[in-house]
Amino acid sequence: MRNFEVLAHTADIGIVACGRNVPDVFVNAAKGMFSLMTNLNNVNVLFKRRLCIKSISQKDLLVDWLNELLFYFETDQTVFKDFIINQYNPENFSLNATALGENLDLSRHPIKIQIKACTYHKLELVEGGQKAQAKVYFDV
Amino acid sequence: MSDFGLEKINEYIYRIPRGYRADMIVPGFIYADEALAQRAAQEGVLEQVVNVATLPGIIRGSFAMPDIHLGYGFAVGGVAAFDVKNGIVSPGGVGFDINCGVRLLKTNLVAAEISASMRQKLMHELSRNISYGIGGHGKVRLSQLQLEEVLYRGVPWAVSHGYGLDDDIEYCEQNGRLDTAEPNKVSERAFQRGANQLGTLGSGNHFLEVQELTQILDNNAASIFGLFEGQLLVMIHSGSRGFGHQVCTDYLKVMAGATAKYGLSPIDRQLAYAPLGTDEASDYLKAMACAMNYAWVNRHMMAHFTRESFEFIFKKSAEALGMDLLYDVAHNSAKLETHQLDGETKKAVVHRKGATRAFAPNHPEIPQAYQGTGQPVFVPGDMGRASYILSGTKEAMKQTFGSTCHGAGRVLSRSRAKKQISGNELKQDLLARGIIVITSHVPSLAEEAPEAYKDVNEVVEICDGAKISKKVAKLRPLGVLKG
Repeated sequence: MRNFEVLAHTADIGIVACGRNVPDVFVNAAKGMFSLMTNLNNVNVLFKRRLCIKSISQKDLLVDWLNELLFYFETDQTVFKDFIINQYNPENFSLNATALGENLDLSRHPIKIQIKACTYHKLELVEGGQKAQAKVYFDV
Repeated sequence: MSDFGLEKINEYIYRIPRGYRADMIVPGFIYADEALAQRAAQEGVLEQVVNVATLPGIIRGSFAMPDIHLGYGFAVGGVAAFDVKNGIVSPGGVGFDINCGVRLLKTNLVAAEISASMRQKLMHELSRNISYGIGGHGKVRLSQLQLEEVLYRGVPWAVSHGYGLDDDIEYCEQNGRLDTAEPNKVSERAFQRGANQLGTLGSGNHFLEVQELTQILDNNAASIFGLFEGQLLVMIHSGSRGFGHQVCTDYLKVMAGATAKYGLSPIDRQLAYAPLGTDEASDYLKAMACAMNYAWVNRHMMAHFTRESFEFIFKKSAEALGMDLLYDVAHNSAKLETHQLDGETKKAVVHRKGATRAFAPNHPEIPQAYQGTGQPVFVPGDMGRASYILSGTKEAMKQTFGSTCHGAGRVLSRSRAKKQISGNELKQDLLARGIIVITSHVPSLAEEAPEAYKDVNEVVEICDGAKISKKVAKLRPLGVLKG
């Protein structure tokens, strides 16, 4: 299985993201989300942004993480292609991460679809046996 | 596969009986013909209608308009009213794009008298003047204080700052302002997202269309609305942009807190709610009102830029071109309204998610000029077929809390549409039929292809047949600006 796959929804779109563990899934979900928006091969790593997020559950943390990235995409006009989870604390549902990318340049990064929000619709996050998987749907 | 116990009431209305699931408080009412009802049952959208029917304080029914399709929590095309005494408010029942809606500008131009090259010029000018797609920054950049004023005052703010005409205020649902707005209930993040997007179209299914009125279907209403066959019109479909999305995102989290605090158990996280009268519910309604006002001003600004574009191309003033506002309607909202139910006056918070208010003739909340006809309702179809102007009816007041459909409703997912249709071919195909399309990303056009939507003619036929609105006129697209 690839790191993520696209899920169809009549009006919107979602992804299944896989990984060896939860932080891995967070990274692949973010990659999946940005690759729905534009071709990440055309994105360079020119700067990094640090993110610290605290939430109320593991699943909420995933939604908050993706929404945080969308916030910077929209307000700073930045597109990210790589993600590093520096610290992940499953006890208090927090993470500290680095997102790497560059400023949005529509001539090089045409937007295929604009994801406007990450939803709780049929949200799933499961782990076990050296594997983890998440399902998320986006509002577009 | 479940048939949801669907009972046929008449040719246009089906019922999911209250007993279908033990937790239902009210029945579900599906406005559909047999084919649409079957389709909805298979798609899983009726489960969302049933889930809404379980929410506390819901009155009379959980309603599905004929353009219904799968949403998040609430279906898109759903209407639900909650008693102010024991009801709830749910951000999921409004949606992410708070006050996504439609406004229609009239002109006194005859479409057939405008040459193809002139139409090209006009579309080009509109695309230059109105920011669309991603990275679409508005021409106005607002300070925090200015944005607060927009949120608080709505369309009257814009008019007092030289955008639009005085009459625009009256011809806007709610006069373009919900007076319950309190900007201090809105997060810093929403302010950041909203600061430079005012007057921009955005992406997704939002559009600006130059249209031709092809057929009058109700002479009296058309004459009162100032419509004639062949008339050139401009339809603007957009919402509250990143601002509204942030308000929804923020308050979905607040509602998660309310769920724990009040020991509630919503069936679906996207259906999270708070009981009316709690701080969480009041705060959401105040923040939502800000987003409603933002969206009205957003469409208002684009209407202003549209008038400027026409003035530039036709070398006449907007007044001389007869560019009056026919009306502006919201289709994602939760509003406190007074309704008569079986002889009783009830106050309710009416959630319309992908549904349009369709108030009847003589309703005090619609403009004086439309007292005889009911409020205008706009039903945009897809970019290849048609759109409609309808009017509100007494039956809508009786049946659906004064609500009707909001569009054609999707049938194909975006990914399937893209697999089946080429954006480039579609653009050429539409051009061959005289429809100019300007878009920020041609391959994505496929997602909004006519085939991705239900046939708007069928949707409107059901609304008219069920008498929850009445057909007034049919329109066809001539030029489309798409985000």
